[in-house]
Amino acid sequence: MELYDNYQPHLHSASDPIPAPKTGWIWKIFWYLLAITVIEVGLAFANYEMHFVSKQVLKYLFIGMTLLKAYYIIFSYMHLKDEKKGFQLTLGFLLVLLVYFVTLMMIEGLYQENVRLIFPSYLISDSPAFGL
Amino acid sequence: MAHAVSTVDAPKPWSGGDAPFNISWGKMMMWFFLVSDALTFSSLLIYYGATRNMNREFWPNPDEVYNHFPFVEGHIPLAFVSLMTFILIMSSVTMVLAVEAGHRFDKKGVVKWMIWTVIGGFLFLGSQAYEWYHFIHGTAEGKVVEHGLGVIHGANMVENEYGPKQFANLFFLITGFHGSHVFSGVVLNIIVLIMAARGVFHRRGHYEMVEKVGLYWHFVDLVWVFVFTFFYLI
Repeated sequence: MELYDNYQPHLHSASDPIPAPKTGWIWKIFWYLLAITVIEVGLAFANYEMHFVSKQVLKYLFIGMTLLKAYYIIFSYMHLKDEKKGFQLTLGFLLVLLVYFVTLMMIEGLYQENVRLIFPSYLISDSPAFGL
Repeated sequence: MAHAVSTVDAPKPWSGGDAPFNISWGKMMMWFFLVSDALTFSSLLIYYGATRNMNREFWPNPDEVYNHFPFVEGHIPLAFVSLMTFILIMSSVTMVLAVEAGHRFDKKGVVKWMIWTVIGGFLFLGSQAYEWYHFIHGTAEGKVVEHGLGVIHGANMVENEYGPKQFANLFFLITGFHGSHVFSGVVLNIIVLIMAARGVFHRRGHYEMVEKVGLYWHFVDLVWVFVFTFFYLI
């Protein structure tokens, strides 16, 4: 156990005075997250009522805003920005697999679309697994 | 190279017995677990997107499915899930405040903010139960099917009134998987709250366990951010 125990977080003793809280940055990030969510919901609701922009445009906008929120949560609230660069990259490299998976499913989706253009009677939704 | 020989006795970060990333192994393993869990959730969400795209014409508009709000008659799209998102973001804030209090070795602060975090977790679970109840029971009019089967109300694993079978199945799978994560997060938060209140971490000299459950709790919030986008907004 000794091998892994030599890293210790900063130790306190019970007699140390408690410093005043520094919570300004927490609430700042909270307002960012709330503002992004309000914009998202506002856009979705307005588009549901009035249809002023195509759903495709909104889709990419929403995904972008979601990634922005994810950035704030991971780097600020989970304190990843305080970790070492090497550790950030160690975690980040694993997620490259997702880029591959999304690409794969998009290619597969195009194939499914072509199948349906050639055979209009073949609807995935009619098969038992996807049935209505 | 002559210089390297002279420092042969100096400890090298990667030669073992040290923490090269300057992070304790417990916190590091929590991060690795979260990355693997992120891959699981991503696979589910990517499959949801692909299935939805293949069944575009039949896929229901989420605004017309999830439009109930407690104590309100009629249909309000998006309002309730926005409230759930707000609850989870809020409990994420109280969690990060608990971690911040732990950094300052402030036991009272940790206990106070952990209690708020647990309350937020229970509120979210209750909201999800409400959401599932209305999804399962459906609308009064339901959907009339032609094959002599009568009227379908609500959703189950075999049939549902909203759209393709996969729509309800993926809803149950993904929000259920997320809900079970919230539940285990609340259990972990309660355990850490009790340990903090009993002064276990105070005697230990650091509040790192609060940081570890904090990482898990933020991850649960992070997953909900994505579930919210892919299930309710798009």
